[in-house]
Amino acid sequence: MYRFILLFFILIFLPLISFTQNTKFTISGYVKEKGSGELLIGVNVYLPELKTGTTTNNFGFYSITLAPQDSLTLIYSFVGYTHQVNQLKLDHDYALNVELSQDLVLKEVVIIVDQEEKVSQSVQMSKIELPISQIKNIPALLGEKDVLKVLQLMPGVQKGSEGNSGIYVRGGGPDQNLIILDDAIVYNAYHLFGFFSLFNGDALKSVELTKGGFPARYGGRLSSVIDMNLKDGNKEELHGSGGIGIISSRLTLEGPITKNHSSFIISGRRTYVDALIRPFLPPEEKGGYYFYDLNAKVNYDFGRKNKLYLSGYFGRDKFSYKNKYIEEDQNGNIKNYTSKGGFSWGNATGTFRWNHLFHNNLFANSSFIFSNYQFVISYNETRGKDRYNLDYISGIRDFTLKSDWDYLPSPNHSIKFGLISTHHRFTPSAIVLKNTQATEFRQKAKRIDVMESALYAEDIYKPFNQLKINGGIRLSYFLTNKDHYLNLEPRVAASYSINEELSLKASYALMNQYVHLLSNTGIGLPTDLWVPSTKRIAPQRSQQVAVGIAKDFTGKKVAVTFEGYYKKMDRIIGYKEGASFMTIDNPETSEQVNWEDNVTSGQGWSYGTEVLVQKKVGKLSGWIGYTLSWTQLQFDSLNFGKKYYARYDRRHDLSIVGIYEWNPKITLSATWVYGTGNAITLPTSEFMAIEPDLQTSNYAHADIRKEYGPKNSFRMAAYHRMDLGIQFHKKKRWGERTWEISVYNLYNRKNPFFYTISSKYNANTNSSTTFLSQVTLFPIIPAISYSFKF
Amino acid sequence: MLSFLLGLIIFSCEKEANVKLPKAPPKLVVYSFISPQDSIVTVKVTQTIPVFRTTYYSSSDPEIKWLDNALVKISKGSIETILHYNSEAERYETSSKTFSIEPGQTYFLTVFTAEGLSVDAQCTVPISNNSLKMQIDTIKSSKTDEYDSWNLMINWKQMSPSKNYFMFYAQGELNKSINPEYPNDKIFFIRMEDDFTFLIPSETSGIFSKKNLFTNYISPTDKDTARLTSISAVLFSVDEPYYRYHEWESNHEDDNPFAEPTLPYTNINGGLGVFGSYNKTCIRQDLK
Repeated sequence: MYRFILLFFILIFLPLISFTQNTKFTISGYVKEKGSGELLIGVNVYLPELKTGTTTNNFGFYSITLAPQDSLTLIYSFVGYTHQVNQLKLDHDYALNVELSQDLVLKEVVIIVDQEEKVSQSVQMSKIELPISQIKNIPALLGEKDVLKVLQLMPGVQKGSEGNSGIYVRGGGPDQNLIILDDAIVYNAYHLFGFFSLFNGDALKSVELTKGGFPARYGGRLSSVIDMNLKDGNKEELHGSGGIGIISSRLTLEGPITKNHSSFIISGRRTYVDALIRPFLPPEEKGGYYFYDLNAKVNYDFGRKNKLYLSGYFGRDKFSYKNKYIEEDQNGNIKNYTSKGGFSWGNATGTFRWNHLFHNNLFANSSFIFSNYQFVISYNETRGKDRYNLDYISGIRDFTLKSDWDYLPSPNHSIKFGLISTHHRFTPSAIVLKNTQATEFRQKAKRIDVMESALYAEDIYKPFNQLKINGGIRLSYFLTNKDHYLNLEPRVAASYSINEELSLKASYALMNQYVHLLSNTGIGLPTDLWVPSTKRIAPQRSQQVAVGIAKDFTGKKVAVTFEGYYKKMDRIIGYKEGASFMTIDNPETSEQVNWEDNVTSGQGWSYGTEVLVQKKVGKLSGWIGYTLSWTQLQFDSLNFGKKYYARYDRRHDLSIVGIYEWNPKITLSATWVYGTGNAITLPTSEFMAIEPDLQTSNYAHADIRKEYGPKNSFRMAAYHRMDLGIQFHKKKRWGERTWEISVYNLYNRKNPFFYTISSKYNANTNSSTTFLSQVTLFPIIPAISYSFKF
Repeated sequence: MLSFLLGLIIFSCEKEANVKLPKAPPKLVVYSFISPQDSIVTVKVTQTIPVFRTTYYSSSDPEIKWLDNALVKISKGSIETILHYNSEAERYETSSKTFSIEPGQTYFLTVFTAEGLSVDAQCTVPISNNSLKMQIDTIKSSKTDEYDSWNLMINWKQMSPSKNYFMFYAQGELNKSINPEYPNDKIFFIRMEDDFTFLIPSETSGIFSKKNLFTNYISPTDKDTARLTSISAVLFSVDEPYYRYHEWESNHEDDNPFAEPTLPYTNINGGLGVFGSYNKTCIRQDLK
């Protein structure tokens, strides 16, 4: 294996030595947004004479190294921004920073040059980039804009259940998504049991989802990477935005600390249901629920060579209650009784990044990252002098060092390499119980320390203009106390351009996942527990091949992608029949549940086709996404070892999203979604089951038990729903305000949330009928919200 | 948290589901566990009824009952016998004197009903080739509470490798019954670490050790008159159907909405239930 790795690195770096020997000049710099200085990610830099180009990286940096040219044109283009064209004579190195103006009216642009970002020209496939402006325009449940729910509207991405933010990508579970915010892993991305995600669109600069053909720089999860970057903050003047909705309000402020060098952004959101219900609670009782999240970032630009960034996310959900009253005991003594408790959970992440330009074509970003997720239950009771305290804590904490390098020796090679090493500390459960009436009970936190590391290298290589290949390799290593795993993960993606608007693509990726999520329900409850791979529970693995066609209709600003994929998953985690991790109701016993006894390893297959027709700009924008897919699982100890359809196997999944800018004052939007019902296991019959009496060999005991038929062989009713929204924008002296009226589930479709078995009694016939009852969560729900920016 | 979930359910709407329910035609359910040590071969037969049904309370006929009109046959090689219905025990039976159960032999079971339902199954009786030893440590070691406790170690070894599974329990015998209603009831199961019986996966040999064995059968008030006279360890070499069925029985979970439903194990072709076999080895130690 090591020989193979060495050979790979030699193959990558050998050609580069020859590049450096010839006379070449480099044009490099940063692309920013005019007026704010915000660095732009993914800007296309195109050289029409050479029919080649590059794109800006996650820090807005680009670099092109070429032989001398008498005349060279560079076209900078980005969706939603006006193009910029520069011409120069390439006879020396250029440091060329570019500013693009926001194209405020997203009209059907008269195209100056038709080299805007094209899906057909990118080697990467199975990747979705969400324009933040579209997220803000799409109608949402209770008016709360949600990045993950917008991703659910994309082909190959499915939601789990009604209103839930958990996402299922190409047959993988929500635990198989790597969700990263400014390089920090977010372990529980949900508020309020998954009904809202914790990402605040006001503070986000970019959202990118990769479903397959993973570049080597990503690893650690089987099914997807959701890479989000926070805005840096306006470097020129103070700006703000905010909004007031039915359940929460939000406020974002950004501005320069020292003009053009340093800036900040701070963005917060909090719900106020607790404040609204407080007046209605009896005086002796207090309590409620709220969640908040806070994003903050500061940066300092030391010039072209060095930049520093410090960013963080802090969020928490909290349920709490307090009772206080006076009681009299048997002897007539008056005692004060108070009980208070609740539970809370939340993430905190912090990222410190240093960008350094070692050379005009060698860019490095080094990061120190902290991530912490904690779930806490606390209960405190006081009765006179007696006290009882209980605290239960579970969570995961990471420290990560990461260094990513971009080396751009020529337009034909774009090389990325780097390393990452994470120290995970898992605390599956820690209980502290103090009781003045009994001896103190303390269960020390059972900590599990592990290291997860990886080395990677990848190169986007263009042997000739029509062909691009992104070949890469990742060497991942996982170390626990006694055991370790070392895995080589090859990645390759290729695209062949048939013409300037049509290309064929193919990719292969092998992924390993070393941390697993134990979930009671799969709906993103805070009790879900992250645990590491162990000797018994090996890392999960997936291999995915995908082929596709990408076609741009440049004149119409429409891009169409068609992809087929086949994914094989091995050693995936399943729960044994009868297993439940719902032990939190009695925390004192939770440690006794050994999670390794409750899980089983199996395999899965997912395959399907996806079509995406997307229009990112224009008066009418939006997309149509359709997925035809199959997902099957097989575990030796489930369903008698036979294959079965996963709960979220969805044969058909269709999303239609439309945003229409009627005029500068009014924006209309609508979504319609359809999905095949979830596959569930439903009892069909009842029968008597016996338990033999061992002593006498008689059948002593008979119980009524249920027969279910094959696992997940019943389909819930199909899910469909339409949402509508209308936004009224108005310019004010201080900025702009928007009123939004939206309706969730416009035609009041009764979608099933879950099924339960009920019965009704008929007095006339003295009989009772058992039937399948459907619980629907959200009927038609109108919402209104107000937002502003200045 | 649960109250939040319940709150959601309260505000949500519930109605009869408009979906096509799976068909649930009746299936025969058959139970039979055969053993060379038993004096009788027994089979119980019932059938499934749909979950989604109407129950008339005025009817005196129970909805789920043991069937008495089936034709039940058991065979080995060319020897076949029909089992007769014993209405008192609600089962089909035949004496092992007329149809013997032998270790290593494969048996076939077929059941037919007048309604045209039929099932069949087969099992092979395990060969018990265990050498069994029992060691009891320190009787009445615990003096702090009202129950006696001690350690028990069972050591068994299979003389030749097999794919047998095991099931184990221990029982105690008293000098007299402590239940006046049943004067002959002197034998009781011994509970070990909260369990009475243990399923042990397939192994060629093993040591089975349990600590803090409680004779909680004898309450402190009976201790003056009742005395434990012997402890017996019983090791069952069981076939896979027997093991899998008992595993399902002990793990099944129908009521927890957060747990995976437990599909019933069966080796009855076309039906439900189990046709399993076991071979018993006992060891007994008298106590002074």
